[in-house]
Amino acid sequence: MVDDEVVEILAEIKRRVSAGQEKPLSEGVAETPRAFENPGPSSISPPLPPSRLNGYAGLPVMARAWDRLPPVVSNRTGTLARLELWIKEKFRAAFRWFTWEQVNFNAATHQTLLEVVEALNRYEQHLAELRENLDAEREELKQLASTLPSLTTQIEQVDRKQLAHIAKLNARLEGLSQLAKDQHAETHARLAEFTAESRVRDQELSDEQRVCYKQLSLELSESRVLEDRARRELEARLDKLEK
Amino acid sequence: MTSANDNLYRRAGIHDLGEFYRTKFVSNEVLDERYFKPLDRFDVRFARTMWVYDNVRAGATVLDLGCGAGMLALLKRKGVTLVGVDVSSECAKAARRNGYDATTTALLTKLPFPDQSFDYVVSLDVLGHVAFEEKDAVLAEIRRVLCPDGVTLHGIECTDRAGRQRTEEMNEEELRRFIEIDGHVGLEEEQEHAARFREFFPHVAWEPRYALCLSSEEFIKQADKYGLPFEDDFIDYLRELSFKERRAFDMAMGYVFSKISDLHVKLPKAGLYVLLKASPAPLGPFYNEHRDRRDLFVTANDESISALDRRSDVRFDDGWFEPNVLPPVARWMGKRGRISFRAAQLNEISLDVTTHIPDLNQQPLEVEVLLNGQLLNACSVFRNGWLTLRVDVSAELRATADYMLELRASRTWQPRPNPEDRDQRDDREISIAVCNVVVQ
Repeated sequence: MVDDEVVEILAEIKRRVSAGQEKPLSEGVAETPRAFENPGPSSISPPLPPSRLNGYAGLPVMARAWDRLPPVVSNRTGTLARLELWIKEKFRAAFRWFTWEQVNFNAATHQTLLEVVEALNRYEQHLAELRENLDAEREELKQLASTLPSLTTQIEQVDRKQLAHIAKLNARLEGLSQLAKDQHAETHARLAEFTAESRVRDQELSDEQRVCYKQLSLELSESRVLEDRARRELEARLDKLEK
Repeated sequence: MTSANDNLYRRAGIHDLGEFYRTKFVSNEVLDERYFKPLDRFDVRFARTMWVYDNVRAGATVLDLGCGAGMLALLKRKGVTLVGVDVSSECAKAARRNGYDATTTALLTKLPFPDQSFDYVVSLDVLGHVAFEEKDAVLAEIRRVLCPDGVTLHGIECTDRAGRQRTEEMNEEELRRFIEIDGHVGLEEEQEHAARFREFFPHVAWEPRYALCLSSEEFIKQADKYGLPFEDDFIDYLRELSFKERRAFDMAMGYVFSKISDLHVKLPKAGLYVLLKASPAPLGPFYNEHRDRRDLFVTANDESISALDRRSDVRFDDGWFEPNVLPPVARWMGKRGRISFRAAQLNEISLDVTTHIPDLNQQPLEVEVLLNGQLLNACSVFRNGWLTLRVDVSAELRATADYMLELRASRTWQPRPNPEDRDQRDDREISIAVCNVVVQ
């Protein structure tokens, strides 16, 4: 039963191989995994890009069918062929322990190689990306390098402007410094003048105060005299009234 | 003048009534009776004061309503007890300074005095500042504080309703300009004032005045500010008068004013001013009811007053201007001024002198002091500020009791700040100011 199945598979492989000679390899290869799809986790990896598959085209066909050894077949017919097949069948059974181990080893090697291929592919992809990035950066660098002279010119211009501005600011600062000095001197002069004026004004106010107090003093003494006189008159009137 | 007037004043942009009246009626003018010159009785500025003076009994108690700076201070010469009340505290202080016995700040509708406190209640240029709705309250207060036989005397600004715009007809701007001139918020015609008084006093007499006689300043003010139709060339002529010419004009006007009173000449009403007299008791003559001007002419040598400035028997001639508060109270002199006085003995004359002439450093002011024509002293004034001058009197000059002190200045100065300012018409040429002239 199993052998029939294997036989069918091999027939299918044959058909495909024969069809692959007429079709582009990529098409044939593209279908290959389906023909050998396995249920297990270590089945064939995802389809490889065509460019990558070219180099490893033979690898998929080496995939094993689990615990099944390939059937013993022959293209020949006749008795000899049957004899041959029978002997081979016997050998297959006798050397199953060796063949199976070999097959296992082959499968493991195959799987490892697939993983290596996959890793290499990924590495290659990464490398390609890096290369692309490098190219892009190189391009960018080129562009930057091309703008560098104009930037340098601009920087020089800005530098010149800044220098001119600084020179102007310096000149202005000097002017302001001079102005501050002048104003300081003027303020001092005004302060001196104001102090002198204040002194004079103080003197005048002091004099004014003195004269005002003098006037008040005179008025006070006059009031006192008048009050005294009025008091005396009042007393005289009272005396007169009493008499 | 009172709180209800605030609305009208506020509409005119006057928010501080006390300050408004301070600026209008307080100046550095000296109204103290001790500085009054007898000749000033003819000055039209004192015409209303003289009307009151001649109608007030000596020794009476007088309340001056709206006393201002103290225009009635002269009444002190008659020995009256003079009390002033004003809405402005500054005015009250100024009146006190000018010799009022007491002054207070109060509303005229709430006088802070007991009933029947005064023999006379007087107001000059006040009732025109009282709003119509408050006039009756003011008159009621006057009636309350007046003695039963007392007399109330008033000089009141009037209007002519036929010829002039009423305040209620004015727009905001017109009202503002009108009230800003003097603060008149209650102008009425002469007979309307009289009618109001009749509601409170059984005896009322009134006379329209100032239809003829106005001071030169008042002529110009009435023409410029109130738009009275005086002849333009006459007003221009008045504008050009010098200080002394204006004084002469005012003296002439005052003389005519007093003669109209003396002769009882009846003037037509002119919508300018009314003198009004009212009393609960029958009234005496409208003019000169208690005329006694002897105290204006004190000739006795009153040596109890040590300073000649305040002695009423001392005569300052026309070389001196009216006393001003500089301070202190002092008289400005022109180029020369004479002081005539009597002194029983004279050994020394001392006086305080100042000048405001600005360029004394470059050109000092020369001052000479002469007594009876003889030079006593000459000095140069190098700085502004008060100086005390003491001059000994030589023995040969003491032979007489009548003296004439003369001061001469080498130059004068016109302190008018802006000669182009038409409102600033003080063109006095002054040299020195003198006060505290004491003879010993």
